[in-house]
Amino acid sequence: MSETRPPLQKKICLAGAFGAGKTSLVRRFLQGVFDERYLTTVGVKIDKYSLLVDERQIDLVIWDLAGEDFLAPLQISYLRGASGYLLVADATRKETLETAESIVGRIAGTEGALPFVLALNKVDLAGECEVSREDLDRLETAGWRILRTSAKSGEGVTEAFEDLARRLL
Amino acid sequence: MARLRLLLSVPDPAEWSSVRGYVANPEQRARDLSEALPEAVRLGHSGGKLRAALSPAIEESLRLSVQRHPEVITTALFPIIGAMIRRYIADALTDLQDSIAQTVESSFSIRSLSWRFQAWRQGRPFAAVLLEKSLCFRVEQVFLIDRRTGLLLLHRRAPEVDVKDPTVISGMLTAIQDFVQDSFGGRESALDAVRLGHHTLWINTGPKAVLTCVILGVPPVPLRQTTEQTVEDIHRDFAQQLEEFDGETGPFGAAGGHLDRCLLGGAGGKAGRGPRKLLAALALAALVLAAWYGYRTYQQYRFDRLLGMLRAQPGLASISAHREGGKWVVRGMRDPMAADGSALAKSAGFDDVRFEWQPYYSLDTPFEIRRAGEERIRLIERSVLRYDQFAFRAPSGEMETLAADWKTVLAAFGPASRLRLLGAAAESEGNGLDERLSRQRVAAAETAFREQGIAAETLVVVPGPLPADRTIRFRVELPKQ
Repeated sequence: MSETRPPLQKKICLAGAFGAGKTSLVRRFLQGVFDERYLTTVGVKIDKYSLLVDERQIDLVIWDLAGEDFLAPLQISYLRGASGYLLVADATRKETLETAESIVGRIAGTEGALPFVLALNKVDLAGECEVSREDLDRLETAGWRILRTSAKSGEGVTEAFEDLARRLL
Repeated sequence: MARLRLLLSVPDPAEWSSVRGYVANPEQRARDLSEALPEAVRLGHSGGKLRAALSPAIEESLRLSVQRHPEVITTALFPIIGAMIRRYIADALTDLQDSIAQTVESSFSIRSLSWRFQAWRQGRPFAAVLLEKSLCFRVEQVFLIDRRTGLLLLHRRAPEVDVKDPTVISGMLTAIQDFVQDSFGGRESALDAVRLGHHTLWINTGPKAVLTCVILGVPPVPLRQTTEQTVEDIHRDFAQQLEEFDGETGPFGAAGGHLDRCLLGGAGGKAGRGPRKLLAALALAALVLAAWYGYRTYQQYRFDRLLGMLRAQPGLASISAHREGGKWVVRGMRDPMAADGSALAKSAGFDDVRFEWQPYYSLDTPFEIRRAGEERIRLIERSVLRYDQFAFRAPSGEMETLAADWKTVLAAFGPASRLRLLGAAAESEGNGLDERLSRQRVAAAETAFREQGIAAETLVVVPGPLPADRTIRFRVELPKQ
């Protein structure tokens, strides 16, 4: 019976500061239908990532939102109906972690407390890491799930999506 | 006595306490009232007082509800409001269909007769079949999308249609819808159509779900009714599933029939051939038009040449030339001496030109000369040289005038013209003398003409006895033209 069941679909968003590596994170795994130009025009690009969780296929419909910077704030409206989100911060730029914290606050204000996972990206550049252990401890104490990822080596990316998918079930 | 009655009628304290408790308990009173209210409404219905009393309260409640929570009323009315509007539109469309049908009724062709037969067999109005057959379109894909999440609930496509990942397309359609709403409108308005080349996207937005059709070609108006009806039916039949949707698309498999109803239009890329067919027809029409125009231009060129030749003809003045009932008609003025132009038209290849000439005298030199020549011929032929008895010399004054006139005639009609000098004698001169005198007189006249510079070959001397009146008369013979 389980073979004939259609996959469970979940909308998730990919959010974070501009240049944190969100798009690079998914590019390694997904053969997207849409060009990345959509990010600068419509402000979002849709991809799909299918994975098996507890023998159930889950289709994550990923809304890759344009990165936030001081000129273009995150369009929270695109999170409407999302089941959760993957937050991406750059381990070599501490301000991206601050942006991530700000985003979590804003999403909670409009969409409620959605499940999320923080992907601390670019961990392959260990020597340039700006984010301190204390910062991470503080966030983990606040209930954040933090995974170290590298779009370059592929480290932790699958785990981050799987972890988020489990939280959505 | 009255006091005693009062003391005796005091209720039992326990009962009294129960009544007091009931009065003090609004919850209990409300519960009892809710049980009695339906009956009270039923009883009060016939009187109309209750209705009158409730109306203001209900109206006010409805107004407040619409003001504060419009989406609740919208969602509640959605399944019926479309039907109401459609009914009005359907009435108008029926009138339109009737008028189209009336127009087409008169045109009989094998194809229209076969459509008529099909309409009769299927029990449908002829105009509906006509619309369906006349328009080229094909619904290639239908997406049923959850409005809130943008997740794909169900997707259907026509055979042989190449489809990219519909899940992702569904998300992107929703994102674009959000983008347009955020940029240009509000949440209450929605993008309902997108056109791209030969494709049209029709987006029917319901309160919970969005039905998007990808259509190739020109979609007919009745298709809009079908898609609207479909989205309403889905909201009615899957209200609970839509309300509780959390990513599980299985329950929406049963909506396949609804979506298939929208997969209308010609099969096998008929619509794709539509524009090509149209282009081919247009190209053929353009070719025929160009050929016709070319032929007309060539004919006009030939006719203009003929008109040029006619204008060059002395004594003809064409004023207008146009086509009338497929024939050329030339109107103008013509000197009676001029040719009427028919021969010229025939030589130019036009057998069917009608000439309508008004007479006039042309001042062209050849006509002036001819006209002067004719005048002189009349004068010459009226002239009579009269001789006295036995005289034979021509009177010199008259001879000079006659010679001058004959020169004019020769100039007008050419040197082949002949002047006959008809001599005569008188009876009284008798006994052969007459004839001799006659000969002498015409010979003298001929000599006199030659002395005036007239060529001898243009003169014909005809001596004779008659009429016996001692005269010479003149006859002119013109060369045959």
